[in-house]
Amino acid sequence: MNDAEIIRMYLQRDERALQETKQQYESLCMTIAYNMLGNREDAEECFNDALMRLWNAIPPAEPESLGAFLVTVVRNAARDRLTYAGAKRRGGGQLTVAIDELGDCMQLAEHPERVLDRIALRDAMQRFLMTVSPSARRVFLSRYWLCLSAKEIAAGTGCSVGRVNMSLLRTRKKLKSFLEKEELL
Amino acid sequence: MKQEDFFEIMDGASEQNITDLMQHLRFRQIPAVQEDITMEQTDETRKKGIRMTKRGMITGSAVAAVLLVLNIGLGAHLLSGSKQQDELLSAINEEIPVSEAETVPATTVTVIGTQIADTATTAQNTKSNAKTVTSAVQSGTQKQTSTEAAVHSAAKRTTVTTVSQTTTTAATTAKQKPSDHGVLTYNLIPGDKTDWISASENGLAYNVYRAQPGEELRVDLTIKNDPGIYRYRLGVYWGNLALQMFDSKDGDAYKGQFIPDDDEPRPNPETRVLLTGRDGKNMVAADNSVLRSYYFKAPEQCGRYTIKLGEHSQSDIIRIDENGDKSEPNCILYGLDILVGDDVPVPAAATPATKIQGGAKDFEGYYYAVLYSAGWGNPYYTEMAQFNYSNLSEIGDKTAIYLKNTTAHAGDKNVPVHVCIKNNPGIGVAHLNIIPDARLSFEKSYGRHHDITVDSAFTGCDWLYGMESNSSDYGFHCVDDEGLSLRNEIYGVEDEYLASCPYWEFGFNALPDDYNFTADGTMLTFYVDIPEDATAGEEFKLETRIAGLRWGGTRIMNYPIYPLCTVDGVIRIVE
Repeated sequence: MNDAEIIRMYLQRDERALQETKQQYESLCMTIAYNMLGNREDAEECFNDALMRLWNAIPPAEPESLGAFLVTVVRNAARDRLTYAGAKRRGGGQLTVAIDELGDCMQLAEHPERVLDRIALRDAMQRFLMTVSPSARRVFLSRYWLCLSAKEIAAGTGCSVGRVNMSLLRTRKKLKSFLEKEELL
Repeated sequence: MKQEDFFEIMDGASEQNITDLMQHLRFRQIPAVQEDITMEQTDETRKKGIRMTKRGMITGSAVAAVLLVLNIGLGAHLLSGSKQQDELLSAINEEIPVSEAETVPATTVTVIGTQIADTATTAQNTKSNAKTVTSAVQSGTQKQTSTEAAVHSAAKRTTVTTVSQTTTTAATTAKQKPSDHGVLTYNLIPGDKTDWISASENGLAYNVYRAQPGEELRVDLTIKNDPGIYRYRLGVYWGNLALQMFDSKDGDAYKGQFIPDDDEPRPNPETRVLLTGRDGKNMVAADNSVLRSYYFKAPEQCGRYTIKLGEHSQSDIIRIDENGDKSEPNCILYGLDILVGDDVPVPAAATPATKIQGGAKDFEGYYYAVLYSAGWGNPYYTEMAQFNYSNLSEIGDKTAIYLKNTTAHAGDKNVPVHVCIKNNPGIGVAHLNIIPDARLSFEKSYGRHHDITVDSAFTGCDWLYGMESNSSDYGFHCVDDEGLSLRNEIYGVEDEYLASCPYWEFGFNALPDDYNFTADGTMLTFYVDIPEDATAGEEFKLETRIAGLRWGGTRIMNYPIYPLCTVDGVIRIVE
């Protein structure tokens, strides 16, 4: 069953849509949640929470890509949980590493304008992603948006772990250079 | 960078970006999650039909209840979730080689059918899986016309089982005895007690012991039907912090090396990994001998406290048989339920966790997942490749993996480049990328040849590098003759040339029975060729990055965060 058919079921309030969603996306969503939260129980709850949000969101929402919509919901749900649990409690190894990896490229100073810096960096990120190749962008977003490990990305993209790591290294270098050019570093 | 900054900055990814990503991402289940599901197959979860831990079940039930109130029928649907059960039976189906029914005598076919029927009963599987079981037995029926009655008997039992699956109470009534005859079985039992319930004899997933609040007990990890495995890794898990382990000791199962990494209690008892190792071949543990004993104190609060066993093995450390074939046995893992309080019911019949024979790749994801959940991940992953220097004098007291600067002449062949370590606190596994100047050449062959030598910083290392797809992919070879022989028999002696690879990838894995680390020393030497047209004063840079790292062997309880860095090397051309 493809995404469009599942979305149609959601729109028709057909509860089988949830089962189909689970079948199609559970492994990915669980991995994302697990990597962010670092705990299987939390990941389970997060995924259930995401399903609930999805059910409540469609309709009125009618996403073009169910997968993209769902992983966004899962990511947000996990993020909410992390926020709720407090800033100290970072998720599992993957999130921590992802943050630290990216932290090497961009550092935010501790001052009142921090929020503005953050917004500027977010906008810069948007522009930066348009400058990199599609394959590198996918690897980069898999790592830093979905918080997948290099091994998981390799499995998902069909290339080797080494190649994923190398792609990430290069994209981070490009990002740093991009941000320096934009005078954001 | 703060967590909220990270998320907000990454919010710069557009919806279009994510849609594009999702269109190209193929994803498979991470084994860690699957394994957890298998081990969570208690009857409570089976009855509710949601694969979850206690907290997950509460949430799931709450979600279901809310939706039922809304009269949208979702609750029922959530309650019918049975994917994990599909996975379980599908795994069990794999464990029982149905194809054997084509060749085995009638009596054996009957046994197989019985096993399937029993297993299916316990597994409470879905209709589709029941069909699989039935068709498997039917297949046996077709092939074994001369043994029709026997097969029919088995098929009949399976049909009965299928019918029983439609009820929701069968799990509590069906008792099954997993056929552990001849199957490698690990058991967690209260070794100093007699009044406990055996899981294998009562069709339970876990052995059961009813403890008094605060009671101290010895939990023995025993082995049965040892096929002569060379080495295994087992995880002992208990997620409830109220259950405290206060000691652990070696058992008597093996005379050879046995190195657990949990000599002392750790503050985080969620996961432990222990290594069982034997340095000799043909050593078989006696049935029910003890691998290791753990000493627990039962919590004061009433409740059910489960200690689980997780099994994972690496293909490189599995014993090979006389024919040189890998022997990676299936196994059954019986954990232990400690029930505190008289009101806590004995769990109903359930299937124990099993490890089904699988390839090394299946293991890998699980392995890493175990590391994360063990809390090992943060120290070494957080620190990896954070610092990179061009000069060794800049590192301070950080742990450094560095390339030693050297000199060479134009056209020199086989110029040695030493990969060294400084301030080594006890690294067990590392994975390095060397990014060379593009003009340097290095014959990347798989195997211990002239182009790479292992040096003395670690005694007993496995080195691996660039086997296929320009990526190091778990090829091992050991420095000792036995290990080398083992590797050769498993993998064969291979040579791969990866001239197009933009970097060189090396890794090593210190043998668990040889944890003699050197704080400062040379780990590895590889050899490069200098171009003929190089000129005096020219420098060829070799960057190094750590692609993965794990501490080990130091027997430390809390893996501290060591500042870790890499230092690039240079080959300077002289006249």
